[in-house]
Amino acid sequence: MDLYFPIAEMSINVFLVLGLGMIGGIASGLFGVGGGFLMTPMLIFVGVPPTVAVATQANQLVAASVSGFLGHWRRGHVDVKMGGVLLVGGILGSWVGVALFSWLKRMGHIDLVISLCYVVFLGSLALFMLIESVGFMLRTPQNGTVSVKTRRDFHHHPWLLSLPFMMRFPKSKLYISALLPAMIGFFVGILVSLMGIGGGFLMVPAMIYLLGMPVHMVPGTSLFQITFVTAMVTLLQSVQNQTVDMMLAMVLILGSVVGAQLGIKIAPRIRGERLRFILALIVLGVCGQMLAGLLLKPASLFAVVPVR
Amino acid sequence: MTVRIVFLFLILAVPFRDAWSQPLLADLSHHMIAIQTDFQGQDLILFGTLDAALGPEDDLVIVVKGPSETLDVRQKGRQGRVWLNEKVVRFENIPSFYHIYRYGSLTSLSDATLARQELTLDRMKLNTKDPQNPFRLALVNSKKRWGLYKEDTTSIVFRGPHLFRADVDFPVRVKTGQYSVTVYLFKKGEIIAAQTTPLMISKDGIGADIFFFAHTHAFWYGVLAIVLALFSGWMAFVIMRKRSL
Repeated sequence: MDLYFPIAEMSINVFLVLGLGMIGGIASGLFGVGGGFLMTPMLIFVGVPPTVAVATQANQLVAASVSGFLGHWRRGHVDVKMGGVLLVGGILGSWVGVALFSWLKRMGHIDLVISLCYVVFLGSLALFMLIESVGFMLRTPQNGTVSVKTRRDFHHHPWLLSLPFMMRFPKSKLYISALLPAMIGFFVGILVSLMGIGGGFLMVPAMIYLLGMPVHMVPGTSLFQITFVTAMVTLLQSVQNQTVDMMLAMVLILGSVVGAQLGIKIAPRIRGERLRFILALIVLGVCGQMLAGLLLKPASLFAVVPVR
Repeated sequence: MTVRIVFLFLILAVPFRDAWSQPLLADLSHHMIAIQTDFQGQDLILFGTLDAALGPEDDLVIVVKGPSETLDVRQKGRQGRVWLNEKVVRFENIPSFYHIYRYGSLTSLSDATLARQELTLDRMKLNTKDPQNPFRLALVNSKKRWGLYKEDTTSIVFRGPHLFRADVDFPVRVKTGQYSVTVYLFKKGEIIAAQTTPLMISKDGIGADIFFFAHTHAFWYGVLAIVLALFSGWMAFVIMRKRSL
């Protein structure tokens, strides 16, 4: 059954769109990530214009992140103050990112930059995760005592303590410079508008390793920030480019809700390091695809693109 | 003087005494295509009559032209180890849709006539006149692949010597707007008659409402998109919580 999506201006099979949403949802239920890094490339692969895919994906992420956020909020695992500082940086970053996006689009190099962002940022993260999880899987059978560096080892850099605007974050039991989370939010915000992803994937490790936040506070706080950033990107894209396809977003949301349920049910049956291993493989696959697009001779040297 | 004018009128009026004496008459089965949410593309039937049967040196050509658009054609090139966009050629105000259906070989038509009426894809006015220009070639080939540009010699079918019909197909990627369907009749390379029929393709139903809303009230559209997403995210949370309790 095909549906004509009015903003994408094309017919796509409904079950294909539901399936895409479900894959994203399973990923988010299993790994606690938004799934945008999977869904945006898949939408583009199906034939949705990249500008519509990125904007619509932001709309879908609003739904995905708010339902996750509510779950963490109920357990009291959200540091609103920290989230607020991250958000200030994120909003500034996404403004810069949107400006960068249109500048790169004019220069004709937006595809290259998107691909490079995926390969460099997601690729290095996935590689790190792969090595860590393989090491973990190899070590665990012998004895249970694995030396894990505590988060304190990572964030006690002298220069971090000498930054101005020191702020107390009672929920996270931290006393650090507000510039640090703002900078993380800013940097992730730029990547969000360039790559059409929620950014939790990049923000979560930064919050654990750079800020030294308690691990249980991290997902809820990052989802809190992502909800607002994706909502703002949705509004910006609607006003500036009219590229948010509400109908496409709703079908994707429906699929991802079902997928998230499945993911949450499967998650407890798989060990944590295996999950990270699988996630790393999937992300490396996406990055490999992008890298191949950059390095291999394309099937057609020409591309026809509409000018808005 | 008045006698002369009346005489002139009489001469002019003779060929139009009744419909059968017109050299060409044609019409479409529909003058409007509505793109609804189940749109898969649509076929229209063009039917018409000729007052005299086509001879071996005569041609019947139907040109369907869609609203214009502007496209960039990008060429990738290798720089170091990476393939990236090197050159861009912009095609401004070209037809988004161009189908040519013909009956006859077009061999008796002069190059000037073919070019003036743009009766083959190679003779369309697209930036450069050279049909082998790689950018132009890439554009036309992509359009052909999407079913938006076409040259066809089999669709026009005659039922007897005078009556003809043709299937005009509009693929799913058609742009909305004003289309024109022009039928040309050539006898021994000379144009005898031409008739143009308008056709409107527009969005309809809820899809049209969404599109219209997105373009006329962009801010509130964005707000609604966010509210809907927040609501469905909240619903998902409520359903999940009930299940887990």
